Amino acid sequence: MKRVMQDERGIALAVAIFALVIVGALVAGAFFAGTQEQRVADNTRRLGQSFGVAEVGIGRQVARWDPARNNAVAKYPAATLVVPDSSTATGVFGGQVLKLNGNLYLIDIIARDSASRSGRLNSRGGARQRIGLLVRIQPLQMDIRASLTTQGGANLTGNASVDGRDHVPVGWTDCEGGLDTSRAGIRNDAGTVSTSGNATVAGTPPVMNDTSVSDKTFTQYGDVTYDQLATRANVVLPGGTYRTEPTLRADGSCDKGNLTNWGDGINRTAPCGNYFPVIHVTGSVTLNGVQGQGILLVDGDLEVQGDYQFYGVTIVRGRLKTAGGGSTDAHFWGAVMAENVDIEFQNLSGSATLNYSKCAITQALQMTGTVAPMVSRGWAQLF
Amino acid sequence: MLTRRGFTLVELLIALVLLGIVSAGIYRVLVNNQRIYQAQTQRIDLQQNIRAAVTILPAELRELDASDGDILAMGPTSITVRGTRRIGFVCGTPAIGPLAGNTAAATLSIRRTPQYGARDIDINTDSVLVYYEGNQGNTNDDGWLRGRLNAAAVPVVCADGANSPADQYAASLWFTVNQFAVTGMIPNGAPVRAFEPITYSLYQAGDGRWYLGYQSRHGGGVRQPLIGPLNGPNGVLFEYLNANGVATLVPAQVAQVRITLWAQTAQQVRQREGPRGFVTDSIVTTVSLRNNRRWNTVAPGS
Repeated sequence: MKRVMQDERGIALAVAIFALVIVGALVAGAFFAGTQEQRVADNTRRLGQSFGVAEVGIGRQVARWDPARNNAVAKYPAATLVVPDSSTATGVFGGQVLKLNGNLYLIDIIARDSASRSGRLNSRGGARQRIGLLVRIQPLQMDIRASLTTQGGANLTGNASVDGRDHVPVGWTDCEGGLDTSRAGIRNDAGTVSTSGNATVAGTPPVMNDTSVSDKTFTQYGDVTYDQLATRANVVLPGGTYRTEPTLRADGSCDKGNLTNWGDGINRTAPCGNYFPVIHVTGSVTLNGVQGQGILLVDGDLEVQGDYQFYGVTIVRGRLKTAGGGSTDAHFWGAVMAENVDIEFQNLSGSATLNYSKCAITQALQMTGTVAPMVSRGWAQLF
Repeated sequence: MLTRRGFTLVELLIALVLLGIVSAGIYRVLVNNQRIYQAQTQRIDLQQNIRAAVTILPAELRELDASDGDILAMGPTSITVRGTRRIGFVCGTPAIGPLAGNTAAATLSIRRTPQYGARDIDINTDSVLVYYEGNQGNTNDDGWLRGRLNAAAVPVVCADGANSPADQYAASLWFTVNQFAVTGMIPNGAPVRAFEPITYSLYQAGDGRWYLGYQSRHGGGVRQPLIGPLNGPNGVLFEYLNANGVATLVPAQVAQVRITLWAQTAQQVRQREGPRGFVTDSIVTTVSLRNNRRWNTVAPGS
């Protein structure tokens, strides 16, 4: 006869459930500890990865620095350059570039690793790193000690004037650092400087014979050569006669694609006022109007006619010749270096004025220069 | 009452014995698991501890310019450095007074935005490094001026298009031989780094354990445990390498700092074999000083 167990009672089920709960809690605890450890380790790894991405972002800004775009931006707080989000193999970076003054910029980069960026993490948090780099314009080490540097002699006739005293170009209001001490009017290796008519040479001294002037003075700028500088040119033109003046696009912005637009030094607040191109003319050139600014490199001779105005540094491998003059004097604001490879006399005649201007030189070099980290303490962990 | 049955004494005894055996088994499992869990937690804490070290210390040391004196003292178990606490930028060209000895008074207006740092400038504990540009046309004379802020900030407005707010400080700046105390040598927009001397050092705390301590002027000069407990009096080793990767004893020549930490668990845990004891782990990291002076330029004061 089968025995009915319905009235039998025990604690097996309770013990089993109790045991399961205990074991479950222990397993959950072990898993929790393991998961926590994994998360912490993962956070550390992602933090390192984000840091690496930020470093890539910083390096990329320096390596791909675009002087025509970045150097022309207004100083902070008037403007900031946005670094758009860019991807690397392990994350994304973005940020901003602040122009602190004519020479200094702050690159401010925020980076996240891929997982943090995409929000794939359960914690919804993720890693982020923000680092900064203070960079400085690397000025060309040009040996400028006079308004006109040349080899050989020079003839000044008519109303020609060479002045080594520091001048602020008319209408320029953003010059930094005050006036420079007076420089020589003409610095040459040898040869006589003659004046006739109303021609004048001024400066301290007016004429400096300096035997250290050599071909290298005109072609070597620190560790950059004339040829290397020429490869940076925004404007490359063959020899010829040109009329250069600022032109605008239909939307009113500066037309930097026009090879005879060499910026607007006469009106610095105009759209082309901050455009300082490096101009390379591969032969001899005659300029018969209107203006330009930046660094002008001429492989041959340079002849200036009428009331042409140029702001910045002019380097001529051949001779410099000025003639005539219109309603206003022709002006070079900055410095002119004429290598005069054939050692002929520089002929400055008519109403031509060469005015030394530290401001024009500095701005031309700043606006065309690339950047490098400050010599010390440029790197910063930002928060 | 025929259907209601009770336990006999024998049944009860058997049940109690079985329950005892099962309970003992569960207890043993529980205790073992708890030990494992505790040991695991201790190991996790230990690893987090040493990971924190490789996050905190390199972040501090990377910003040093050892060539310009940012390592104030160094030894195998301690290092004292200038810790950057705030970075800002001057607005306007700071006026610099005449040189008296090596110092000159200057007026620094520091923009409130942007500023970066973990805390605000504390004029009572912080010194400053102000960027010195000198000749705009070359980088050979670029450097930094050390100084202090003499009085609390006065709110001013920067004379730029946005009229941004700034804090103006009366400062004393220290000039070296090749630096000129002339207005214009510090340009508009020059960066300013506020720093304080901080020390990371190995020490034995009141509980008898060893820790890597953090000591700062801003923190009242009291040493606080940062990482630890460490593995006794040899729990940390700072090694200093020059640009060629060779050990150096000259602070100004340090290009890299190698940090080795031996840490141990806060509590003793049962080892796989043998009695309970502290579990130890170590980590090594090498930090390159990012802000050392680059290139073969004329160093200020040389």
